[in-house]
Amino acid sequence: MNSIDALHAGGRQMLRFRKLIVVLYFANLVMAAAVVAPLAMLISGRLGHSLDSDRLFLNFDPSWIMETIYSDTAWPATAVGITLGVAAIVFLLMNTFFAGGALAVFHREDDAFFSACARYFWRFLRLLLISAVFYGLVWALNIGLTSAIDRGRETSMEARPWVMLGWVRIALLWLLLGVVNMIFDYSKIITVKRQKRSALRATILSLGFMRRHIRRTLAVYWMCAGVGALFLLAYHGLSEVLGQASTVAVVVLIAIRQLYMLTRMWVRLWTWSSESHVYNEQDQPVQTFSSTIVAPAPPSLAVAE
Amino acid sequence: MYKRAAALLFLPVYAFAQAKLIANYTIAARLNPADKSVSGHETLSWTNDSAAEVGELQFHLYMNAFKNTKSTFIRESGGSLRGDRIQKDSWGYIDVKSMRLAGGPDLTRSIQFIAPDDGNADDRTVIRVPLPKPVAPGAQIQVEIDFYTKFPHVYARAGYHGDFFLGGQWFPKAGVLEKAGMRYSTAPQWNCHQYHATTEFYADYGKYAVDLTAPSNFVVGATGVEKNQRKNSDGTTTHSFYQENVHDFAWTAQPTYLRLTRTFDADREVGAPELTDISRMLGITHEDARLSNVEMILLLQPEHASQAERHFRAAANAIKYFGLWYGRYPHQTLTIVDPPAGAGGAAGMEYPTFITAGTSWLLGNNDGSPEEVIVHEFGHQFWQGLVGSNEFEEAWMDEGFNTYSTGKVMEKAYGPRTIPLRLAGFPFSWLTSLPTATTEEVDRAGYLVVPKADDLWRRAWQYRTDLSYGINSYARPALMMMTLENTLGEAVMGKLMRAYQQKWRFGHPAAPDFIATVNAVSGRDMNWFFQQFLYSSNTADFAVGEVSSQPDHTGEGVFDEAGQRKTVTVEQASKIDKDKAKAKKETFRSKVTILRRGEVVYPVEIFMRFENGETERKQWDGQYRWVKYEFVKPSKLTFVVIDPEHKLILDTDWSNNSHVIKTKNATTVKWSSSLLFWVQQILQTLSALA
Repeated sequence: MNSIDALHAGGRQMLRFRKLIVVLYFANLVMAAAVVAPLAMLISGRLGHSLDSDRLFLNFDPSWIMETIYSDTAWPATAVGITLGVAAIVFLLMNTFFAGGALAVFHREDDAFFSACARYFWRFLRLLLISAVFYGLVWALNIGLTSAIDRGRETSMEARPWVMLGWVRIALLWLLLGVVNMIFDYSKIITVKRQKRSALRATILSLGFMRRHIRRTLAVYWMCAGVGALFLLAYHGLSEVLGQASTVAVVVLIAIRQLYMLTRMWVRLWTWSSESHVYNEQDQPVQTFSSTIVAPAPPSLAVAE
Repeated sequence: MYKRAAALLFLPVYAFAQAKLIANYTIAARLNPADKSVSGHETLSWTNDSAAEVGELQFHLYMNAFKNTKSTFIRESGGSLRGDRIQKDSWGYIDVKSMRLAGGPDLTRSIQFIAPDDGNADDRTVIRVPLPKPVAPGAQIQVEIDFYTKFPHVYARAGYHGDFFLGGQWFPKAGVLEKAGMRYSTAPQWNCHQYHATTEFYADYGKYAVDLTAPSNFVVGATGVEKNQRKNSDGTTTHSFYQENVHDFAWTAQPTYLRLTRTFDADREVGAPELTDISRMLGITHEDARLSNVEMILLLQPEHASQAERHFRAAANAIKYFGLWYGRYPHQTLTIVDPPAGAGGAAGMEYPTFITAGTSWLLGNNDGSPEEVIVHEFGHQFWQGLVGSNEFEEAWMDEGFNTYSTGKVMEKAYGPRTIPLRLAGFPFSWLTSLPTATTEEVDRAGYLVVPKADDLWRRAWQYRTDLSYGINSYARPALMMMTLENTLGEAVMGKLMRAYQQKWRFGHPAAPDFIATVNAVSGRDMNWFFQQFLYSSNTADFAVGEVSSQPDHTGEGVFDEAGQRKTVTVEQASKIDKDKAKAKKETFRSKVTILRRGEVVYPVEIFMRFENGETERKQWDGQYRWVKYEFVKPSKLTFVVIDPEHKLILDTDWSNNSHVIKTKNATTVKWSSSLLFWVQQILQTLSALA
């Protein structure tokens, strides 16, 4: 199965698992709403009966934020920060939980989603912790590069080469983050397919698999990412055309944004599904032979009479 | 009384058209690029303009601010300024090799370091030089000085970066002898402050004749007009600059500068209708309003070559509007310097006829860069260059006036700008439409960071924090000036600003001089205004308190009307009300309470609109803590708003300035949905880790 076939297969499978997208979407929406609700109440409290609402609807005025912070109203910056942090952790755990179910049903479509979620949660959590080390290494490399570029910029008389190097750094950062992300996608797939209990073993197997099929795995991942980027571009174009200068435009944009969020869920699941197909096809278990030597039956010693 | 004073005020309008040239310098200096230094000889001709004998001279030796970590500058700044840090082991200093009176005794040994501001014995930025014989009133002396200036790597305005040099505060410069009656002085006294992290300008006017010798491959620019270039046999060129009526001299040199010139053609830039409009508004003649041509010299980094016209246009806009509003720019040249990458500390600075800009390799769409910095630094030609305020003691009259004026020029020439968001040097405005902001909104946001930290009027180095200095020297005075303009009207403000600029051109005014001009030109006693906004840290906040608008029910009970007693029962009253409602003859009682939450007392307008389109306007003096209004009208109140035109820009909370009866949800929905979307995005991006 080549990369395109895997993507097709993944896409077809996604048509059968539309409910999965909805589950992930609502989880995302609920968590985000929990973070935004106090801010929405604050905005409503300050502008719900104020003529300033009309002025600010047309163009955001940065001094409004400052006057809100300065005014007697308790600015819930700390509370929002904590809520966002807690929501991020809970959402990460929630996705770790759902990932087990999703990959299990991609592997065996008759598997029970939620019981699979529970089955793989602790194993995926261990993978998450191992992946943190990899992401940390990428981040450390990024900090090192940033610092080297900054040092170079300080001694240079030109900004241009250093700005361009900065872009290369960002591109490299995204590339490496993508590769780490991919390694742990396959680690999860291996955990599900081979029923591995050791997260470290699954990671090593994933690295081995990716080394053997580097072109195919990269192609599938980055094609999915490319489709995600196309959705982003489409959303961005629409939002720019619409603007938010009227109530109707605001409402339409809300719908478009939520649609875009659905596409993000779809792309994520589609990537997993396609990667599962790549793995299933490329890593068929090797035929093994029994090592037991079957001794031939001893020749009959009976003498014919 | 004030009108008569105004007439008197205009009499000496051109009294200072030519500065009193008190400190005149002839300098011959040689740039030594290898050891990043300048060696020079300076002849100072100094006149005692006071009525008393003067027994000593005082000088700034400002490059010593970078001599070690014990200087007041580095103690105050912690070795960083405007985001740039001092480079390791890159010290700067100035040595006075010798000082003597022309034809007189050597003064070198009598030089004493003093620290008039903070008593820091380690600070070496000010010296006093006792004279063997006092200088008589009106007499002139000549001082011969040999000096050596070692530049630091630039992080705070002056210094070097690679082969780029910015020579600011680079020579021994005389302080100001304030005579009795000048600013706050009651007797002649030296006003010669140490070099502080936040402030550095106050000097007497004079003429500067400077010969600067640099290797011939260097492009050199400086204050004033370049009169001559002489090639020397040692591979150097001597550039001769001359400028009168200025109080400082700065220069720059770099081999790779692109040197471009344009002429600000006054007749082409300012049409007859514009001249007529401004003449009418300010009550001046066409001839007074007319501007002069200016040669604009741009020293640009090669990688910014495509931005040359934007630099020139910004400078031309500044020359035009500052000139039209405050009087023509009197000098022949304006040199605009674009420091290279890595020398950001030299950007955004002002010296007479010489400013440094600051730009990026990639420019955003209409985000005001590099225009705003050019307009602002040019503005200092007026507020500090031509009107020589004491930046140390009254920074608001320098930076504040200029921030106010810059905002006006930017609004006039460019309108609202997009918020300059960038990522890794890439302007966001290329990708998406960003909100726009006016200078006023940005200043107001800055002011609201710490509105009560200090009184506005303080010495620059005595604000509680650097942030407080910044707010009280830039944003807050600019907003105060806008509030003053809104209070007096644009035409009166225009007249008084021009009168002040003209009266104090080449002079050294203080706050009371400005207030006197305001009172005289406006014909109003505005002391109450300055008492609250300048000399205090009080804040303003007007708010709508309780609001109600209910049917005005028919009264129940016993009434004596026209000599007859009439009893109205509950049922009768209710029936009358119902009948009125049916006939649509109902009346409504609307009650509004307006609160003064802040300490500032300011007269405000209160505007109310009713459902039938009827409106009510009330003027409230704002003296007491609250005022109540009550109306009986045939329809309900729709909204009430205090200060509908936002005249009081210093009001710390505009959201509570109005109350609309029906809930307004559009902005809440718009902003909340955007926030929701961005939090969803963050969470979803994070979920990729799972």
